[in-house]
Amino acid sequence: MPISMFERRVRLFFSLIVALSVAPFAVSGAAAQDNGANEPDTLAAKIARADSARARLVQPPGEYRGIGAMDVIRVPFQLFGGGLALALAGVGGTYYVLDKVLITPFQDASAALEKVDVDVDVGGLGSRSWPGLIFRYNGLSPFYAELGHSLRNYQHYSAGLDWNVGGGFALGAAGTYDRLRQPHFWGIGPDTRYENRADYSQDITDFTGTIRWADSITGLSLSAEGGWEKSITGRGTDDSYLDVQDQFVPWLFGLDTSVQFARFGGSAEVDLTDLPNLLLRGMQASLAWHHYEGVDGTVSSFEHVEGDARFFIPVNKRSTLALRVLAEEHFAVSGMGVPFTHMARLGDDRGLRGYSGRRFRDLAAAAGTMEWRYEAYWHPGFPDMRIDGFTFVDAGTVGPSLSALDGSTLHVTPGIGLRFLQAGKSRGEVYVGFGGDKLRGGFQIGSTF
Amino acid sequence: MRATTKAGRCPRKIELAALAAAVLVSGCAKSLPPLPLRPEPIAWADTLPIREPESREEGRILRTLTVHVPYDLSEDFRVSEGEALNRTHFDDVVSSAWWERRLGYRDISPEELARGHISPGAAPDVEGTLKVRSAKADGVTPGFVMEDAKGDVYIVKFDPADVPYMQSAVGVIGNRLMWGAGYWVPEDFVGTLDPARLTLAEGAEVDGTDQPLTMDDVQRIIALTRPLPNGRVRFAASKFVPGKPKGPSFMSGVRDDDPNDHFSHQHRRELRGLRVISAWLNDTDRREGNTLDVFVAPGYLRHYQIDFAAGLGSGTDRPKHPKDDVERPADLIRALARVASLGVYREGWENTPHPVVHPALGFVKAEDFQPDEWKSAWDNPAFFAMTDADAYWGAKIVSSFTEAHIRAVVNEGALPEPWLVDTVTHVLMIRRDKIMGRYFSSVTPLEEPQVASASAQGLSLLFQDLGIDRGVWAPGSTRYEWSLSHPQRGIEASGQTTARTGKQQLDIGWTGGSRGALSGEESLAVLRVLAVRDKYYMTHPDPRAATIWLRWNDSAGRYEVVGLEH
Repeated sequence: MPISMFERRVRLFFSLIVALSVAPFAVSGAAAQDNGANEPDTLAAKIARADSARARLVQPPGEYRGIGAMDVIRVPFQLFGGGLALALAGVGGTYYVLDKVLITPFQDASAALEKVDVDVDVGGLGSRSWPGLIFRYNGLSPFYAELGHSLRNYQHYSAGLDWNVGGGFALGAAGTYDRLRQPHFWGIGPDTRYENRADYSQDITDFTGTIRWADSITGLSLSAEGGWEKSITGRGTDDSYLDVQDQFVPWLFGLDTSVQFARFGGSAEVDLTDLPNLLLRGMQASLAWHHYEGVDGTVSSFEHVEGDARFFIPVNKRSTLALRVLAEEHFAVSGMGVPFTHMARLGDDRGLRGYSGRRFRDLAAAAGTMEWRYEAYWHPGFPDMRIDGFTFVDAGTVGPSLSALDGSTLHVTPGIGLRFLQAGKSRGEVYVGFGGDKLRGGFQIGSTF
Repeated sequence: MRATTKAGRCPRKIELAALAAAVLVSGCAKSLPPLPLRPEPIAWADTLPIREPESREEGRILRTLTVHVPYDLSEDFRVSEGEALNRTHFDDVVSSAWWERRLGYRDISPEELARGHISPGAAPDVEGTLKVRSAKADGVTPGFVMEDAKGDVYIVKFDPADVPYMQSAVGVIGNRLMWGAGYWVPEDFVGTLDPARLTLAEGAEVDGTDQPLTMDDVQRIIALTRPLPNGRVRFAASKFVPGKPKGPSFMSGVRDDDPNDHFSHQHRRELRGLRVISAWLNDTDRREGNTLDVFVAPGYLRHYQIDFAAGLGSGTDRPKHPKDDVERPADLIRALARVASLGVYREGWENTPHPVVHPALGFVKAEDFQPDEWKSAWDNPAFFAMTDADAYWGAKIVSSFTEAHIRAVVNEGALPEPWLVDTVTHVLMIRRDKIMGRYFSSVTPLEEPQVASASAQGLSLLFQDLGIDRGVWAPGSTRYEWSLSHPQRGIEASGQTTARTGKQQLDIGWTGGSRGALSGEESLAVLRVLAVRDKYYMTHPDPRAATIWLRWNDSAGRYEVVGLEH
């Protein structure tokens, strides 16, 4: 790219200045590097001369002065980024502290316990338990023993047998004691009022024997079980609300008394889903039936049937339509009826994400869900991971029987959410449901649906 | 430029808001004198000795949130941040600690380009003992710091087993081409070694920990690559550059502890134009973390570009995906658009097939390559500030690489089969031509303007049209519209002429024109020349005229060329 005579002259002039300034350093450059540390005065002198040369250099402006339009346009984004940085610093700082005082000690303790065949898990122990720790001893496999405790003082104890016999068969037998401290209750029926929220406690003792069979090829699994259970309800531990005993006078079957049932039944499940391109497709369905027979002074007998069907229909490579139908009913009810703790329920991941869990109870419940799932974020560097957006409409109601459900009492809660998937399976999700008692945000390990 | 080519994505209201903001503050920005009246940047002026600076860290998370994210989010609202500041009077760049005039400025044979900056004996001596000083067992590409029998130290990486040859070949090809383009780069090599020759250096440790390195760690890293039939393993090695590393070069502001650092980095043309060269090489990982300031003799900071393993079809440890070069990994705007539109919002890449015809090639676009759409994985202020003129400067360098140059460099990648060399060569040629077509279209690629003859009433101007010289357009498809303005002398003239083969000539005449000595800005006349083509290689053609600055020399009674802007 030839240059003009004028530029040649200008360049020659400035090149001479630079050459005269640079030459002494260039000649002695290697020496400066080798010996500079031992000859600080010499090095300083060279740098001083270089500073002097730099001061004489006449160059174009090195930066624009003043505020440019782009500087203004960028301000909100910089505030956003700065806010994110601060938030991240907060999260990072919190994590650092948590890591020191909780996570690392927990991991160390887990590792130490694993050596003595004890697994430690973090999870819930029932409705409104808050997170708890569950310890499971597997040292005498197939026998096990479990105990758990949550932040709200929920407790869980279990021991038994979990034996994979082979050929698709598994046997289970367990004795369990669960202590729930403050589940909520709003009353019975589809029109219960939000203001009537009350809490109670429940102690459940259960002995169950199970036989299961599963076929991985057809996706079919069958199980049969029998057992005995005892439930005692009392006053809740949450002082923010009235207790059920005070809110719902004078009498509710199952409250302030011990109910005991012998129970037997069975269930069938079929899973015809697969994950081509990490996109779930197919259907899952389950049907369960149980008979409850009151024993030892509990005058009650009833049947419980529950069905749940889910369909996953990919619409294109990145979107899926998911449908769910859920229905349950208690029938052949005799004696004192169905304890309120055993009733069909709707709310949260049981059909109505815009409402709290167990918000509606009655002898029968039905709900339908339509969910549109779509890829919101994916990066080829982490091909197994994905964040899906989803928008849903949950609709459902409760009533004395499925045939008596009244469409006019149907509750509809649309919502939106984000779901984090790994290898096509949900690891957790957050969502917001509208149309319930109030705007409701939810978080779920795994998937609500 | 990018904003205009993305019309339709950027809602009209947003454009208007951006325009309003621009108008509101436009009075605040400093206006600079015309280019020919500014001092010129001085070659190598930033190589004067300085006190040794402290080393610094990239601080990637903080830089990402406070720099990359704001720039990325504001991209759809982009307005010009002005032309680069380190331009010569003829719209060029002088050699410096950042960049040196190489291909396009001096004759470099294909063989010299392939050999590039490699000094004799610089390649690792793989037949002697190889000491592993440290190892990075985790991360995208595990590797070693290795010392050979000569005492030279290298960063060594291995191709993942399922994409053999890919990143090692791409790394060396990118290294040589980037050197040819003028940037400072380390000496990179491809080779094979016998794992049995690897030993542990004294005090070897696992990177980022104080854990001692073991041979088991080394073998675990070796096991991630696929051995050749003779039992050796192929590696990519980057020799430690001489001098003391002082951390990355940020793409904005100046380095406070470097008194040579005169121009804000986002206003350096060679950094703005680097976007085009990176787009050509599909080097999506061209980011601050892949730069290195090195304190070199006799005592100044030289600014290196390093690690080219994510170029062409390589996603480093996987073949590239169509998303990689058009949508950033953390593209919040588009992620939000997908969420808000319930997944209806789509980008073109989502339906782009991406066959990997050979693991060594990965996936790289050729005919489908759209320079405007190309994005590096990390936005940076210099790339963001690139103007049409900066892009043209970069495209000019890209256009200097002939097929022979490219083929010679691709051969350095030691690809396993000849057809792979042919393929990569042709991909680079097609991408080069796309770059030329696109960025030569947005300006008038006029070079070397010279007054061939002049009088008081006219002049004959000779110049090169790089668009014709480089074969983008035929002479018959081009005409030039020109206008001359010198209000102080009462001259306003315009005309047009058709292009021809070889040097172009404009015969410019005017009537009137007062005599008398003029100085400063008053002595300057502006000659604007617009190349009108029958076809433009861009979505919304709006090419700019070249501005030729003429100074009236009253004593000679004629104009002389004193500046050029694209």
